[in-house]
Amino acid sequence: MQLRRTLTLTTVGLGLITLTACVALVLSTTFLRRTVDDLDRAQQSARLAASLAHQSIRFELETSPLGRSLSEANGRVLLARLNNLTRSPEERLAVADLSSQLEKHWRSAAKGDVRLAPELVSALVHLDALFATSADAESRHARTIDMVANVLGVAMALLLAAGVLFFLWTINQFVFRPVKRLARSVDRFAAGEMTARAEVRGADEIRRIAIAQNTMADALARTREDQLRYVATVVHDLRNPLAAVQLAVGYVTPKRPLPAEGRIREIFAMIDRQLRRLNSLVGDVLNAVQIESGQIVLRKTTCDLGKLAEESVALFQSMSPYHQLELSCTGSTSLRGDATRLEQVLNNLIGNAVKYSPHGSRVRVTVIGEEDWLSITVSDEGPGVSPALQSQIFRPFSRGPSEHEEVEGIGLGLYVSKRIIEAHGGAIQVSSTDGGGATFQATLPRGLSEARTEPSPALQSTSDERWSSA
Amino acid sequence: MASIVLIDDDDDMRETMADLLAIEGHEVRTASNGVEGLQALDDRFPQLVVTDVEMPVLDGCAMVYRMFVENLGRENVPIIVVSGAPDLGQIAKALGTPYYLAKPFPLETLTATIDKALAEAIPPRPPGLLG
Repeated sequence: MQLRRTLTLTTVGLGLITLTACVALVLSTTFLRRTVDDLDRAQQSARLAASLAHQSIRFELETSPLGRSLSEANGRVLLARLNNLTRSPEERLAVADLSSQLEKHWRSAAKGDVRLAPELVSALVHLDALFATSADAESRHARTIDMVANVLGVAMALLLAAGVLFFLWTINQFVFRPVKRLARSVDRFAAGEMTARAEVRGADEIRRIAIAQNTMADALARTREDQLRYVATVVHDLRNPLAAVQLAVGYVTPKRPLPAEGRIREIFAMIDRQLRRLNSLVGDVLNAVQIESGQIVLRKTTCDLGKLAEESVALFQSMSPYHQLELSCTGSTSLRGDATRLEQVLNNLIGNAVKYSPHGSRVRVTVIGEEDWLSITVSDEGPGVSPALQSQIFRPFSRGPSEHEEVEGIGLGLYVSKRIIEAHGGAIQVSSTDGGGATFQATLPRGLSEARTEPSPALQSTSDERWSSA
Repeated sequence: MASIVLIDDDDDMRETMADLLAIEGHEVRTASNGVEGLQALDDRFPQLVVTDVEMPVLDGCAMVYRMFVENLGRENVPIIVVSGAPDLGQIAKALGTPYYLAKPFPLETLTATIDKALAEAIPPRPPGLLG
């Protein structure tokens, strides 16, 4: 149900009822007025007919010729007025009949015969009866109109009341209640009940709000779920090195002699390894948190991406001599960026390629310098990235499938890399072919033109550019 | 004292634990994933299995399920599950074992749990597999 349409229709409906009631009121009063006029005429006619009868009787009693001629004149005036009041042909016929009878009477009176002829009397009686009937009919008519007006008035009033009640019910049912329910669900959600969802009910407009609220709640709940899962992952990954270190404390107990010197050295080397691992994990988390809250500062200088790639390749080649790392650079590879952060990205991409591909396989690193853009491509011969994982591999704490769980880190590397590349105005993407092998490609704007606008190279190293999380 | 199979994918953790348990006088065999763990079990039944949960190839839970389902006698070996997972209690419950160790833990906790498991020797009974 659309709220706007319903409101419009209800308003139009109520308006029509009111208009009809007004028109009916005007019409009924007009009819009533006419009926009253007719009734008045009938009564007047009856009175005139009675006066004529009275006149005729007096005429008979009048003795002087002057009195008779006055009475006759009076009679003619009454007859003329009566004639004016007649409406129906029947009345006109009766008046004409009376008029001829009276003429006859006056003529015979002039000859000396003043007796009332029985025809005259019967004409008078007939006319009187006619007018009485007419008055009755008009009176009945008036009562009918009154009744119709009453019925119509009550009906209109009931209709109007029903319309108003329907309107109020509609508003309550489709607006107030859904809004109240919506507010309650929003309150519940705000109070921390993550499963609270608004009922999608009521007018279309309110359903739309409820749907929007639910979509938002879903997104928030998902984000929170993700965060909780991330925290669980972080906790789990931090506990592994902690466990090894705490267990190593067990070597030194009052009950047993200390281990041999060589063993102690081994134990401390292990503790050192685990503490470094712990520190690196904590660093990763801090890095991600800083990036997420927009606290990372880019220190841009003019640097050589080819050289950075070379250093990174050399580092991982020394760490993993069983992989064949190949580097090729084409075109000018200098750009404006934060060398430390870009090195972090390169280490992450090349490190991932080494981690996720088998010994003896090749990892190819390609840096290509175009006019305004540079691209870094890192491809490996590992198991590749499934299409499902490709869509979320850059999200924080996503990590490759479980058969690679021996791989270090807590799944923040690609997320951090993506944010660093984006902070430089670039983009990163992953592609994977069937039959294995993943390719990560990052593109970066050269950005050297903006360097020219800056005052001096000495100041460039301190020109911190804050960037916030999108 | 006792024959123990220890399964953990983290080299340092596994070697430290094995070394300390050997100092305590146990006979320890190690494996770095579930498949190797099952092989170690097949060579000779130990008195106790101590296993990590998250491991490559075959994780701790899958390994325990397999021990139970294949019904070759391995299902009667008590198991201690070790993990840094926040829901370790739930995992142990799902595996039907009363013994678990939440990382990190001191040596005394490890030895106390091992002593308890050896004394009681309650084998795992995964409720999901008991029908």
